[in-house]
Amino acid sequence: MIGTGARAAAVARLLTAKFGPVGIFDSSGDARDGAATTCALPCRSPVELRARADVVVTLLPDEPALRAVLFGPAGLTQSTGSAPVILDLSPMLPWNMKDIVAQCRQHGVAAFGGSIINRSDDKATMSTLYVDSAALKIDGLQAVVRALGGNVVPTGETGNAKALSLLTELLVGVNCAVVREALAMGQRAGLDTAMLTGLLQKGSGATAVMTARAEVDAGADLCKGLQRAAAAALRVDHSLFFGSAGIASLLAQPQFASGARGAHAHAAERS
Amino acid sequence: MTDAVAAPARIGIIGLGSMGRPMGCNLVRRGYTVSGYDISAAALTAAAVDGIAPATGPTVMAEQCDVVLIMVWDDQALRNTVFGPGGLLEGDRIRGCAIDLSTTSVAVAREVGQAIVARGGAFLDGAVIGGGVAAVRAGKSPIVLAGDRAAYERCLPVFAALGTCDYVGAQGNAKAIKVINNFLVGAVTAANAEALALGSAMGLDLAELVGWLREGPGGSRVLDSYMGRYVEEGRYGEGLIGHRLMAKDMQLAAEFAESLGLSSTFARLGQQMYLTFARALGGDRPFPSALEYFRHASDAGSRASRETMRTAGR
Repeated sequence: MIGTGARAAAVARLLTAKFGPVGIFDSSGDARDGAATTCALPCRSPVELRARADVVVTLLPDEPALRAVLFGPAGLTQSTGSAPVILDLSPMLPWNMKDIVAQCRQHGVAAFGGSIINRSDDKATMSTLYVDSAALKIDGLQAVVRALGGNVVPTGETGNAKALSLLTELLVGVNCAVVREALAMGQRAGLDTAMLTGLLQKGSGATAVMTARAEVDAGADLCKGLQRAAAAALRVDHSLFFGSAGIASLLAQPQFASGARGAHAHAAERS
Repeated sequence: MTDAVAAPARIGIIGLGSMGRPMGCNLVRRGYTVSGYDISAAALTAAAVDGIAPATGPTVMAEQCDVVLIMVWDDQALRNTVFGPGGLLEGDRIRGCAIDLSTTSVAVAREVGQAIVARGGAFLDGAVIGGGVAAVRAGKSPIVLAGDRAAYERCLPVFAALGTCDYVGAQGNAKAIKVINNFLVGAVTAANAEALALGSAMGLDLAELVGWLREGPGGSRVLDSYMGRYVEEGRYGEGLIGHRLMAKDMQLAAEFAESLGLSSTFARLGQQMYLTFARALGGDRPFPSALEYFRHASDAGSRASRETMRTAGR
């Protein structure tokens, strides 16, 4: 496992539960320090990890961070010997994933893309995992994907899982924001929020973000997701209204972030 | 309201459009005596085929019917129906209960309700909050009603023919829920349209994309119904309102939010979007066709993208 933060720690816990202690590398050192608590085996470099693992799951903040652990000094692709299969769960544009997969192939390393969505750090499973279909044809990798639990959705060609990630974040971001605006109206008008939420879920305006099924992390993550959507739109010369960079900035503002969280928390309580 | 009946038998429907007429049909099937009125003579004639007797106008219906259902276009049409010449208030009395199911503002619903109650009638403000025409035809519409609780209880047998009913409290609440619901529907639809079009422009197959997104937290009834139906059947649904009316609904939501001293950021943005779609595609095109707006807008980009995706990683 190569990754940082709570998301990577959650993945490490799931893998440890299924396969026993997993090797873990994080250039920041934080994850290595925390690894002991998850019974993981800290590694000093990606190369060291490569020697220990058949499958490496990467979950890094962005594409440059992934490139660094793959192609940088002591990177995963920078040694000889049997190469592990890589499943990358980092957020990035689909074109970049395609490029990285091709570059890995040149080094004799098989890499696949995926995206964890709907995650919940404190629970034992990930709710939705979009993954390149080819990854599910690799025995060892299939077991890893299943270990992550939740709803595994094969998404065809390389890169599609990353596209699904940013499109989902676009939808979740906007849905959270409009739900927040809608519930605020109801609340100010004196409607009971629980009643209103229940009724709205019966109607055509029902959204997954109003139910416990959608455990989303609003705020900074969604803002980044929307920024990726805006970058993708720019790349394909596609105009956006709701998914514009301006809306992404708006969603980053505390009142929208907390409002979306509040909407979800409330719906979760109801369920 | 002296002879407001315990079991309403005579029902009037004002507005015999895509919602009002099938509601009337269902009531006729349940054995009610149903009369109807519409400003369109053609609509009156068509409804007569279903057993809905043409009435001369709202005044007569107010005097003769136990329940009058109002399903009209907008605030102005509702005002005309109630206050205008030949309106509900023009006669000697209001016999029973008037129920407004139109998509109108909270303020006008309250104003109308107060006027009807002042004349001795009962009033409920109501709304159909989902399912569209298909649910109306099947008698399975989710309906919310607000106002006089006793009148609500009396009218429940009538609504059993139309769908499931929830009582939501004080007068105006049902309309508020409708305004909020339509805002959500419009905004979520526009968001789905641009997400799907973006995915399509990135080279993803639209039908597969809809299926994949449904599996995740971006899912919604809009994605399941309108967009799902579009990729399966080439149409979004039946009897859906057009961009112009959706722009009006977004405006209603924005004004409602502003009247409460709240931000209306997304409602106003949605209003602008639907006005844009109306100009580009036609005001009467069903509102989920926002998808086509974004897809057309990005056709050139999509071609470029497919080429980029094809060559990436070579």
